[in-house]
Amino acid sequence: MKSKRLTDRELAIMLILWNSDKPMTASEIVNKAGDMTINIVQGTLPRLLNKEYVCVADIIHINKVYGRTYKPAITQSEYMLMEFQSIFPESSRSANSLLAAFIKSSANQKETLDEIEDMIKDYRKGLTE
Amino acid sequence: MSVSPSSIWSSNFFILLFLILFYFIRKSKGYLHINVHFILASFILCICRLAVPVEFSFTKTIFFTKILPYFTDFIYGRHHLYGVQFTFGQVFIFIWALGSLLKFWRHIRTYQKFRRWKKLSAPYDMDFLSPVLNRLDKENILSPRITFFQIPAKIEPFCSGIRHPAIFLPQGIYTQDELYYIIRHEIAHLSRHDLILKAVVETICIIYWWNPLVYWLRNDIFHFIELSADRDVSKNLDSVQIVDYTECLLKCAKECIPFTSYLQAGISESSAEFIKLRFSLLLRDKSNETGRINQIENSLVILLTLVVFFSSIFLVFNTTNPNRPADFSPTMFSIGRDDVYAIITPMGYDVYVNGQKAHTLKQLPDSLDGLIPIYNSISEVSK
Repeated sequence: MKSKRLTDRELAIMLILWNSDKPMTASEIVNKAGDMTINIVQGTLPRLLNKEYVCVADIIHINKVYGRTYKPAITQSEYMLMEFQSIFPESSRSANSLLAAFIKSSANQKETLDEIEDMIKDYRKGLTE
Repeated sequence: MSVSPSSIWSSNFFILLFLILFYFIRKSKGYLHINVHFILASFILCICRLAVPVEFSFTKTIFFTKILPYFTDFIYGRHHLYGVQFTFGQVFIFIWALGSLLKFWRHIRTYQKFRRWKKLSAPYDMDFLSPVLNRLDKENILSPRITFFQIPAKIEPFCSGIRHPAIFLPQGIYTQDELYYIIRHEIAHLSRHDLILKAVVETICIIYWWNPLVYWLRNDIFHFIELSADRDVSKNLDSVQIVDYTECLLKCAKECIPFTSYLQAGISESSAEFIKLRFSLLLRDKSNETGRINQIENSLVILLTLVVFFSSIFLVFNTTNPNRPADFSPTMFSIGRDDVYAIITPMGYDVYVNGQKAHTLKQLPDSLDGLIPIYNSISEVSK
């Protein structure tokens, strides 16, 4: 899933939901946030639903009306990993320029790691002998 | 001291020369015995030269009459388009400046996103980390300014923050012993100010974005920053601890996504070649470190670096135009350092070239101001 950018307000609501141990209604989110009005939260939650970052957990009875409770659709770790991969996409992650790609060896990384694992085992064996 | 197109591309030429020579050193058998700190220092000298591509009053100009003049003719030749006069040199400078600005803006945006991302990290579980930090504190390695945060499991451990240093550790993967080695590695980066060096290197890449050499140089510098940190960690470890350290690095390489950025200093490598080099250096026989062959190769690297670096300071390349006009006359001359001078006369200035009077000017053009020596009389010249 590609990371869809969250605005500061959306991120603030997500942090509240992530730190809560149960689904929350819009008014509970407002009480927790302190600096957002009910209109702002109710305007932001549909956007988060569209981006599939939150989902409706339940519809509960609040006083004389029914209201939705919301819970995060992804964990904070999953979001951080997605966001990290979008900040540092594949092309920049290895810091290989075109030129470096031409001159570097074509050794496969997995094979190299296996080779190194054997190297370390041999070295440890040498120490114990 | 001045910056000119000649001094800029001459500096770039010497850096290319250094990288090519270093490439052959890298292929040599004795490469493993070279002190990585020397190599990193060599690269830093290259960066310094690129950052300050000036020519000095003592810089000697070497004139090329073949190939290069055609290149400069192409760059400086005047063209017209819709009544606007321009040279390709001016177009290049415009594209250069625009490219640098765009790259700088992109880096600013990445920095802002990364800063926001870092704020999502929760503090690391101190109950689990305390024994590790106590152990580091007893060894006088830990700084109280460093804070610890947890990040998703798949991201490699890294340190970040110049004013507020912080170490970011994946949760739930590493044992306390492994965290000890990881934190030692990251503290080595912080104490060596590697983040500042990386930021400077990235700035050079922004300025010289059009030159593929700077990316080659950047890759090597980032790799050797990791090797230098390994060196700092391993010098105080015994053989068994070195094996533990290498196993920890191997686990990082297998479990985590490595990423290389100027915004952080991590622990993993993505290049297969450097992974091999890294572990070979860690596991090499310690008894070889003070061997004679080691000293020869270290000296060679130092000598090579100094020769290339000082050549880039003392020499600059320029062109003479082989396509002289058919009616070339002795009044046309190029300004060298020693062969042109002016003498003040009642009529203005007598300009001499190679000891012969070439021309009389009522006043010296601004472009010659400070460029040629001016004397009050002939007798002053012979002094």
